Order: sequence, then structure tokens, then C-alpha cells
Amino acid sequence: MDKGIFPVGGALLEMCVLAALKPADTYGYALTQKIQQRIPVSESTLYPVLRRLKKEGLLSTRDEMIDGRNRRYYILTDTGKEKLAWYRKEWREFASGIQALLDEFE
Amino acid sequence: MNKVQYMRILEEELQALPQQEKEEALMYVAEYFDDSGLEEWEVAIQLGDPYEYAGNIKEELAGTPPPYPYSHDKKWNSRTQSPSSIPVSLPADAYGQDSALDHLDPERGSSLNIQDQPEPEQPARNRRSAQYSWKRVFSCYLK
Repeated sequence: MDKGIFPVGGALLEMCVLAALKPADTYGYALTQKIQQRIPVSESTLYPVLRRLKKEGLLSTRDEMIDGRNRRYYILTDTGKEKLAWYRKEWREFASGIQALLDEFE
Repeated sequence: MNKVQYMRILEEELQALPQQEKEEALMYVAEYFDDSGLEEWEVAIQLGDPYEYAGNIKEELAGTPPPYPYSHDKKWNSRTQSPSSIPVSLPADAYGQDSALDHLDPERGSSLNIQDQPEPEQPARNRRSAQYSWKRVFSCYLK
């Protein structure tokens, strides 16, 4: 996949972060890896999103000591789960609209 | 560039942020270095230009509105609720005489005394970026 053809930012990146956090609490580096395995995302855009989602109450954090240092895990809150469900619904509609358009004029 | 060098640039660039915001951002990046298990220079390349990294954080804190703000009354998409006070079309002179757009028009420049205005100072970030070319420093590692 070529990077940057379809920029992942804004609502799309927010949705991807919420989705990646759904199965389990995840720390910064692992979260980046999870997302980057699927889509090209610049690491420098991820921290600002995490910070914003936390501020909005969609995520919370907990700190764990690993090898004598701190590791911060990000946790999806109930509000976050709710918003993720909303995003999924919106995305399905949008994606199927794009697909239908491409199919129609193929 | 190693972890300490990267972090030092970030810290300098985030100087103006509230203490807690700065600390949390720096902590995130420090943990990212430690958790990766990669060489520090490899992580630095993954993270990208530290000035750009800091710029994204500053931009977010400067109040970029979230794409679709959450509110508890389930009105997710605030953009669909346009206030009725916004006029449908702008009057012909909506931009007025002193519009910033006028400065782009060379025909009208003379009446605005552009010559008398001092040269705008370059933002600090641009000055720094000029001295420090991230891509050049790491060109040997980039494919």
C-alpha cells in the first residue's frame, strides 16, 4: 500500500485508535504497531490523538512498572466503546457508499 | 540521533506548554523508545523529524477542534447543526478594503502602503528547520 494516497487523520484516525484499543489495554508502542500493521500512519500524529481522546473521556490510562520503569496503558472507557460503535456504523455506510459508486461506474 | 538528542529537541520545542502537558508528551516518547526494543537511531527515524513531532503536539494543544466531538446528548455530528445566523450568501463588499486578500493584489498594493510595513519575522520553527535538515542527517539510512 502506498503511503499518503488516502491520508489517515481526523475522524478516521480517531476511529482506528479506538478500534485498536478494543480487544485489550495497550501501551503506546504496541498500539502504533497494531495500527501500522494494517494502514500507513505517521507516529507523530498518534500521541496528539491519544491525548485528545483521553481529554474527552473516551480513553483512560493506567501506569505499570516494567523493568523498573513506567509503562502507560491506554484503556477504552464506556464512552469510548459507545463512540466506537457509532463510528463503525457511520464507517460501514460511508465505505459501502464509496464501493457502490466505484462498482456502479466500473 | 539517539534518544537523549531526540528528547532534548522535543523538550526545547515544547517549552511553552503547561508543565504537565509537556511532561506527559515527553514521557510518551521516552516510553516509546524503551518499549520498541530497537536501536535508538531506528526509533528516531520511526518517530520522524522531532520538530514536526513537537509541531503536531503544539497544534493539537492550540485547540484544533476534534473531528466529531462527543457530547452526552448524542448529537455526535455538530457540523450538521449550522446556526441560522450564518447568511446564505455574502454581500459584495463582505471583504472590505482592509482584507488580507488585498495584499495579494499588486494593482492595489500602492494604496495600502505596503512598503512601510516591517518585514514579518520568520517563525522560530522555520529558522531552526533550515539549520537542521532531518532528511539530510539520516539520508544514509533512508531507502
